[in-house]
Amino acid sequence: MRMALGAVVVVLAGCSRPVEPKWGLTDAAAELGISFRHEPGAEGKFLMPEIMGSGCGLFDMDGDGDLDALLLQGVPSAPHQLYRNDGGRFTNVTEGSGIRPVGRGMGVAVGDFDNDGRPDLLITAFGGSALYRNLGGGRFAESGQRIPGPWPTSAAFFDYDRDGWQDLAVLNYVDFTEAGNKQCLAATGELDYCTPRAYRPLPARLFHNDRGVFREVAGAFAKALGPGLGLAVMDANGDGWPDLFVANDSMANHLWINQRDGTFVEKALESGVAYGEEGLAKAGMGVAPGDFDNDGDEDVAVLNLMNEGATLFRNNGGGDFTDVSRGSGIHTETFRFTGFGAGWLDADGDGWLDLFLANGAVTRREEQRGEAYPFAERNLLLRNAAGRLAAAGGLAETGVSRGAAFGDIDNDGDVDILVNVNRGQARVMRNDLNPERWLAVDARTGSRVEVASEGLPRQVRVSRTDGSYLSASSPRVHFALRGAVTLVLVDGRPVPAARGGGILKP
Amino acid sequence: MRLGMAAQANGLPAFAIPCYERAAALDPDLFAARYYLGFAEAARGEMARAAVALRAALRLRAESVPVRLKLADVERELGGREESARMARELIGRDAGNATAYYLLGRATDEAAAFEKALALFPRYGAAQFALAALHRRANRLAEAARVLENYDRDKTAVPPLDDAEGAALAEMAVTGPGLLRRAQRADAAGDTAGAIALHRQAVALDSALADAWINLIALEARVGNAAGAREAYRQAAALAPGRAEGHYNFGVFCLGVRSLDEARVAFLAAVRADQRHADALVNLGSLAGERGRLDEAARYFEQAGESARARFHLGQIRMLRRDGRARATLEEARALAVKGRDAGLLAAIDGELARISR
Repeated sequence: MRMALGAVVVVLAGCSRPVEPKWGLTDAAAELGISFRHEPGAEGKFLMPEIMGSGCGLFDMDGDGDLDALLLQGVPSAPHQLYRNDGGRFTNVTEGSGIRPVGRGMGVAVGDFDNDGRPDLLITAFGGSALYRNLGGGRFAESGQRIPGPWPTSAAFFDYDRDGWQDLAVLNYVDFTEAGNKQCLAATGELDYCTPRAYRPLPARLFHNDRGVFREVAGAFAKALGPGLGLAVMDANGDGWPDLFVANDSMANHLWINQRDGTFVEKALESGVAYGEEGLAKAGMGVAPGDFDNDGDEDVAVLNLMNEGATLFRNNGGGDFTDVSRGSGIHTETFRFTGFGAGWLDADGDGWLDLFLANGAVTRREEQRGEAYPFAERNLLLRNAAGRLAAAGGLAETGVSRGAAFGDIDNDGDVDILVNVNRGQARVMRNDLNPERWLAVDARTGSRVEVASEGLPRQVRVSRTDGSYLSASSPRVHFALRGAVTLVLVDGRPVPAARGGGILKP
Repeated sequence: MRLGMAAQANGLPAFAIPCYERAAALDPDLFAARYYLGFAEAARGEMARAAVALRAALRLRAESVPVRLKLADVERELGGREESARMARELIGRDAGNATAYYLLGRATDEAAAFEKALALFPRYGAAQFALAALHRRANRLAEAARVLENYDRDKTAVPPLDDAEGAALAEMAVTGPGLLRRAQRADAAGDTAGAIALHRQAVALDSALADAWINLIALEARVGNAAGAREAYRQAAALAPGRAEGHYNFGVFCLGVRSLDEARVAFLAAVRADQRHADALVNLGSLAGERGRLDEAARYFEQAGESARARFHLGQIRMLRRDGRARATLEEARALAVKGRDAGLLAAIDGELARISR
């Protein structure tokens, strides 16, 4: 969505009576009209792409002010599904949308690559990616541009050289081919999905946007290979230029620092984010940047495999991070889970970012022996009490969750979550916080928005569509309010805002 | 017990636990059942249960160092940093050469000196390197942090040797890339080159990104004359770990063996780019330059190699040729280093050159 520069539109939201927030995440997919069922195409061959997908996206495709939804399929024969949102109710508009199945659907990236004001789409797939130009009105056309890559996963549009055009980074996983499928066995001797270590890791790729035409920057990320799954654009060293955080599966994470000359240098080890505190690689999948400790810079959560625990890297400033997984509680709370989609949201409106994790195993879970698809886990919401994370109850349903996209689907001031469930029904985790006061800011992607308000700590959010796992989220940033807004800074510049909150479009 | 061990060694600690519990019930004095139970509980994150099992193991075998080390680690995970530090100090009191105990003391106390001591005892201790670098970074000593991590890519899985029969038995049952690699390295050490190659191949079939295995394979395949195998292993190693000097060095040695000298030079240069103090690569680069008559270049490489007996020897030879007055002193330095390194062949050669100078 293209924002009008300089215009400030404030919509006052609700009255000012302070109340204790009630909150909760409820699966409202059926009620809201989303009936998508993901099919991995698993036919007993245990092909890796079956278990890795798929992602989803929340974006305002038609510019009508609410978030539409895209859910990817895992089999080439089944079309991805596009849903139009009309005031919080979804209608399947796949037919005639121009989006067609390509390979086994993996990821969604959203960005306006042709600078026409409409969010365009990249759909990555095992078997080929497709770049779509948004024609408006819910219609898309393939751009005709080839975005090569053997097994592309997460991708992100970002302007790394600040030339005003959205460039593109695409991760690749491993050199698996269906013809070269290896037969991997579980410890019990049964056929199972291979770990990525059975195949060779592949480098990520960078594509420069030359006025709407992507040209690959050869070898941009070739110096460090990784089975890349999670990708987030963030200013890791605080120099104002976008860097890339990559969660690699079973290999060191990568932190590609923007050299401001069109190149990147990998600095994860020096920065403290390559490994957890034990110094060994984990199976990085989802990635979620966010200021969990309200100290003004973005920290990073990386979701890993069962019996590893998720990792939380605290940003110390200047590109230096410390693993605080144990002290924060995230290690213990996530140890039994395999995490994929992830994102920070203030689910309970207390001014501290909570963490949602979409979980599901990749190899057989022994306790589900005898079940048709023994990979189910429940999702988690970790509530944040001043920097200490603890699992909240209420998410009892299990499934093999993968991509998760975040955004305010019903425009009620809180962040909802769309979850694509491998071989299951998609979920829309509606946030029932329904805050009486809130502030949302529609800023340029990559903008750092800082809000001070009465009764809550100062909050910093960065506008982004990337992060999570194979998914694209809404760039709108949300702030809980308990009292009047006293200050709004967008990229360090004060922006006038109504004291009562609303939607701000700087 | 065997069923539990097979499950645990292959990543199923939850499956292994009831096996060990049954074994312990059948034989309450069975130390191994308590030992493995403690390790399996820790692997699935049940630290309190792990501590109970490990204490039970200690009641059966109070002197077990592996159990004491694990218990100290588990206590720290449970938040008992003081107790963990006390246990680590007790282990150090029994054996001042226990690098792992110093590492655990560092983890419990955040004392850089403990990690430094661990590294003095076992310089390739990856976990200690990482932890020490983290402390340096926290104190904004970024250059020190970078220096400590210079060889981390190579050393990250290296741990000090430990007399641990139960642990070794478990590792033996692991059908995983790292488990097979350990067996392959033992086969090589025992002189079974064919067996070592086969196990390395199995390891990379399971774990294609196991750079250590590819690096070893370069040397092993070269040893049996399989040039294609050595080249393929180098291609993999260089792609996976371009910063690992040993891969480049191994390939350089292979190239020397087949007299592909230009390729050898390129590989040794890559090794030196990865590790500027890689003495063997520098010596070989010097030798290659010397063979081509580029004595200045050769001397520079030998000087750069530093405290290497062979480098000092060759540098001494060049200085002899040039009637440089420092030749004798250089050869005497080489001799001292050769004596220290117990390199009898080199010692004889140095003595020969010293005799020539005396004549």
